[in-house]
Amino acid sequence: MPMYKVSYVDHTRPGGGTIISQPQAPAVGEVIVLHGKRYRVIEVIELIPPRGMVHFLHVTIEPAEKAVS
Amino acid sequence: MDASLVRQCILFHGLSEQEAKEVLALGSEVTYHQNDTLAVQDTPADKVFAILEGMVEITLSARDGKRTLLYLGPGQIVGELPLVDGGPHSANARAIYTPTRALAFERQTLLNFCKSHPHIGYHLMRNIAADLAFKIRHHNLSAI
Repeated sequence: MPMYKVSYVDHTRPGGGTIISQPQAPAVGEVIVLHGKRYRVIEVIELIPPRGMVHFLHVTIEPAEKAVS
Repeated sequence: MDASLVRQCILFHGLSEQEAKEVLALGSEVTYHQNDTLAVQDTPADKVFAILEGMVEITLSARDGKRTLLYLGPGQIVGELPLVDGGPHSANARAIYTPTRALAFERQTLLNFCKSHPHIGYHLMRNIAADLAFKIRHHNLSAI
């Protein structure tokens, strides 16, 4: 069964991001929940080649509900 | 323990089921509540943690307060730097969800085991090095 070690970064907010291992790969356009907040996935890249069934991904996210000015 | 919780932790990557069981037997499962402390910056470090459930916030203490470096969720390792270099904790670690569950390993017990079981020890140390490398890559991409 594959496993995905995922580095999540939201460049719109301060803070260093989140690293989680999960059984499914995130997909561009998908809305995920991190720390109780909803984020949209805007980019998924393979950071390094997989080791066996473990994949290493870097995912850029942004708040799913953008502020309206 | 749920096998899927073990599989998601990179610490056990490359180990057979039997080898993983031997390593698991060295640790103890600990449950934390929100705001419980796993590690305090600049204090002696005698444990390394593998997070099974919940989330841990890693912060650096500064003159103007604490700065969040990173959040670590299931499958991640906390306290690997002191395990490798023998120094104090380089940052603070606290649970931000209830429950946050982790496997806690005594540093010296794990090091002794690696020495007496070099095949397993090679995998454990390689996995810890890979985890550190991933965190550095994550940090670099966060800074762009």
